[in-house]
Amino acid sequence: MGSPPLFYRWSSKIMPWLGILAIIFLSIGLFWGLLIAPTDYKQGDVYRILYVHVPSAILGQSIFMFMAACGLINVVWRAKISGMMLKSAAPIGMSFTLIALVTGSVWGKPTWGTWWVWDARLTSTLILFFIYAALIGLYSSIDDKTKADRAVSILSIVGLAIIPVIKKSVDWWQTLHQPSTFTLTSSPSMSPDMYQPLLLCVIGFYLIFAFTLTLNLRNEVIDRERSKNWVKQIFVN
Amino acid sequence: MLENFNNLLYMDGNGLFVWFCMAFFVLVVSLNILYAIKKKRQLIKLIRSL
Repeated sequence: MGSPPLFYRWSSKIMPWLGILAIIFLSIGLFWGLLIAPTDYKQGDVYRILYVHVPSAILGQSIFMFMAACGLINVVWRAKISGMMLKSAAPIGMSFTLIALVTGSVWGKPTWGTWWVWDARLTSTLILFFIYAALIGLYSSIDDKTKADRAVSILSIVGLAIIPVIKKSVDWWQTLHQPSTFTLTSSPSMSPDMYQPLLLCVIGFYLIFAFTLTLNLRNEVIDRERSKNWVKQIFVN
Repeated sequence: MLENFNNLLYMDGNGLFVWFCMAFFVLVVSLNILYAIKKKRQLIKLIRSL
């Protein structure tokens, strides 16, 4: 898997399945969540934003952790593919963080009465968005791709410090934001009718991430290896 | 029929907030995928011209 030609061939087999599974999970999860799940007794129907907001926020943070892991592999073992993965994942992570911020803001208007507050959870998520932007900017500013990979790897490892701050922000500070919807230590406080479609949406979002990452990564592999014979054999014939 | 559509769109009055979020998600994900497809086409063109 660490070899670019091997990854390229393997990914062409797995990518259509990722796309199909993502569409199935997202269609069922969103249809169930938006149209079938019961209305919340306090918030009414606006709570249904949760089916886009929560998976996006989870993805925004998970992708950053994935990137930090790739960064660590790149710094320690200098695996070529890990640098490519890091570069390919950054715009997707930034997109999901943007979706979480925008949908959270839209949800805030009818429930809190304001589009934005400088609340700990919101501010730390905004910082995560800026770290993603900084990673993409840093990568673009260095011409040598090996040096760019190393610089971005180090920044992603250092930037990982924001994740526990986001996660714990609702416990450490007094915030308007509700506590975490997903916790590993306790059972969900939501009704199963609301929770089950959310689980499907989270799986669907992870699959969409895997699909988009594979698309971006294949492009990155072709771009970096375009002078190699195996790439020419695929595209020139 | 029209009443059903209105119920679906406006829900309890906040439906537009919900549908805006859905549309924004679909837009951002589609842009990510379309950009990747466009980049692949450009790369193939570049490789063939080498």
